[in-house]
Amino acid sequence: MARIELRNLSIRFGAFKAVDDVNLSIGDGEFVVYLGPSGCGKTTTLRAIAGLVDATSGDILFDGRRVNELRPSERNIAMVFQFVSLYPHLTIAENIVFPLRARGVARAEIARKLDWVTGVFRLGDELRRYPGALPPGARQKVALARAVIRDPAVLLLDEPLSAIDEQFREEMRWELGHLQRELGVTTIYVTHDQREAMSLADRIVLMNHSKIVQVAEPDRIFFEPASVFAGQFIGSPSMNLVDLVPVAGGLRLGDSTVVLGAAELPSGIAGHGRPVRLGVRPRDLRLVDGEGHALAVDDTFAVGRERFFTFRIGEAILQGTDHRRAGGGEGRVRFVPEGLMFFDAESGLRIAGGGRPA
Amino acid sequence: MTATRNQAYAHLSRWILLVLLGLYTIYNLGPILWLMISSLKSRADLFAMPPKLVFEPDFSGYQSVFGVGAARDSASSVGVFDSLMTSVFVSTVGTTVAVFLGTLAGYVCSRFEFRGKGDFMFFVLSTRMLPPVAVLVFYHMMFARLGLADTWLGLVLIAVFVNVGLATWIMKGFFDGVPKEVEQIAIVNGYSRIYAFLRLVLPMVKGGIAATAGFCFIFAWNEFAFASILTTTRAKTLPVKISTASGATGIEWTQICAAGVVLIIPVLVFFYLIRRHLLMGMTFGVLGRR
Ligand SMILES: Nc1ncnc2c1ncn2[C@@H]1O[C@H](COP(=O)(O)OP(=O)(O)OP(=O)(O)O)[C@@H](O)[C@H]1O
Ligand SMILES: [Mg+2]
Repeated sequence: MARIELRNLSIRFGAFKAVDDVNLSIGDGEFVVYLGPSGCGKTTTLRAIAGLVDATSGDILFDGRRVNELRPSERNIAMVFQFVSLYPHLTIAENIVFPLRARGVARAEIARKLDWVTGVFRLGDELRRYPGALPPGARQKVALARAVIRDPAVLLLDEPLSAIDEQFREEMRWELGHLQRELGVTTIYVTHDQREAMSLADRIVLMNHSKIVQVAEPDRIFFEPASVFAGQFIGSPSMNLVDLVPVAGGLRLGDSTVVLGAAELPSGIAGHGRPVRLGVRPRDLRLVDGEGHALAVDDTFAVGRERFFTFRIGEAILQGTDHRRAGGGEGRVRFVPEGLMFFDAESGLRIAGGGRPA
Repeated sequence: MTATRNQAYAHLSRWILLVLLGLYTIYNLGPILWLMISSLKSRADLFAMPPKLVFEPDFSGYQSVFGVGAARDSASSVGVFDSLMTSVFVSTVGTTVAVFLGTLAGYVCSRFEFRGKGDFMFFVLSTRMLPPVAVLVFYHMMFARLGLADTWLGLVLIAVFVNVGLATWIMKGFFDGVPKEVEQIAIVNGYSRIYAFLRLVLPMVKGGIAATAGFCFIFAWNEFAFASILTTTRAKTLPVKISTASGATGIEWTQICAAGVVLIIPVLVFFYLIRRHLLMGMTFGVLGRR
């Protein structure tokens, strides 16, 4: 088990910075999920921790000890990749014990470990088969079994579930989380999928354009996004964004007639002095029968039991939830004050609003 | 109404297609069939007019090609069997060396970045695009100086030369198809890169190696331009021998036709074996990925 620290880590490929001055510290046994759009540097960070790519500058520390110069095999890590990287000419059993063979572990010990790990992943019936005979989900289980069989100090998982069927993925995700807690192994997990991140992570590391945007617990990243990017990347359907225009008595939404008054605004926002954008999640933008702003509703639709509505402000289409009683009237739009988040329009950083619901 | 008319059209176009395919087949296979029949005819039957369709098969051509039986003794047949042996040896050794080098080079080009890699890959390919005639004279002089003219070694070098570039490209394609994670997992677990290459990656591309070897063998086997000018008497490959075969009694047609049939056999066998992978291997291996 190990603590991991990244200090001013940068990785360049030629002129391109794939990882740009990243600082992060991961606790022993923690489950950290890297989340971010394609090409933002998640895999590169992971590979640097594994020692498969060199840090251009900065330090990587395991338990306070610098490991930049250690070879991958000396770092006591295990990896699982998105693409199944089993060896097709070896049986499932041979694949799983592959890491033990390299370090000359005794036969009896290998057998004991194999027994344990096949029990955990319920692979007992597959041991003599070849990877080609297994469905992708089961193959990924084998890859996970191969990773944990050697008791690694750090488990590095690069989108391990993204090539698996939706249905099987849920199950695997649950099992993976369970197993990680049981083993207590420090885990870094890369994914595109925010649902995976939210459900597995102790903390989420959100990356964009080679930099870390925010590091926080899933709840906090949802309710207190550090920036417009964080707010929009997390949550589905995604957060609405509108520019606010200062007018007498409050802030107006774009070129609409809706003015948010003092009652709806957090203190100090009117005096920010620079352009401000409002972020509001659909769940906090409600079409109700009672009090609210008069707005022309564009469209209403339902997704299962949930009903939504949309309206336009200038070019932007905003989406909210429809809370009217069935057969209700026109309805009015209400902004839930706790759900309003205010961002500096230039830097994109959150300046007010947000916060956990009481 | 329209339905039946459409059906009639479909029927008609089907027939036209079949006829065209039939003609195309005859055009392609006709000469081969003719060759096969001729290889079994005695000299008298060969020149009979009108051509004989029913005749007593004469195996003397094959006997001389494989160096057995009475024909071996006749002065005219000296060399055809030797040419067959030359071809088998040269193609086998040349293919082995070319595939060996191509596999190593292909792996390096697939996995490592090095300065001038693009130029290197292009140069390697250009050796295959080069029209042999353009440089034949210089090869002839060079080989003569080096004492390689008219030797098996010279022919093997040529067989390697015409194939190593192709082998490199095809093998690079197959290696590109193996995720680099295959080696990374091994390295993370303390295996060496050499181990990963030999024990993990190579077994995953063994089909590709077989296909590459097949192609190289065929190219070496069919190679004519270089072989024709670099060999004069002693080391003659079968294609060269066929093109120059003549004996005391004029051209030995039966024997030449038998040699022609023998020349075709390895090609048929190879393409029969890989018929299912052919399209996939060609497109994935050579054109697919970078
Ligand atoms: N060996 C390399 N040489 C050059 N550029 C590279 C190399 N490896 C990665 N890159 C570049 O670095 C950037 C980040 O890549 P990385 O694989 O870390 O992204 P990622 O966040 O994992 O994306 P994805 O979600 O698509 O997997 C990409 O633009 C990629 O093209
Ligand atoms: Mg990635």
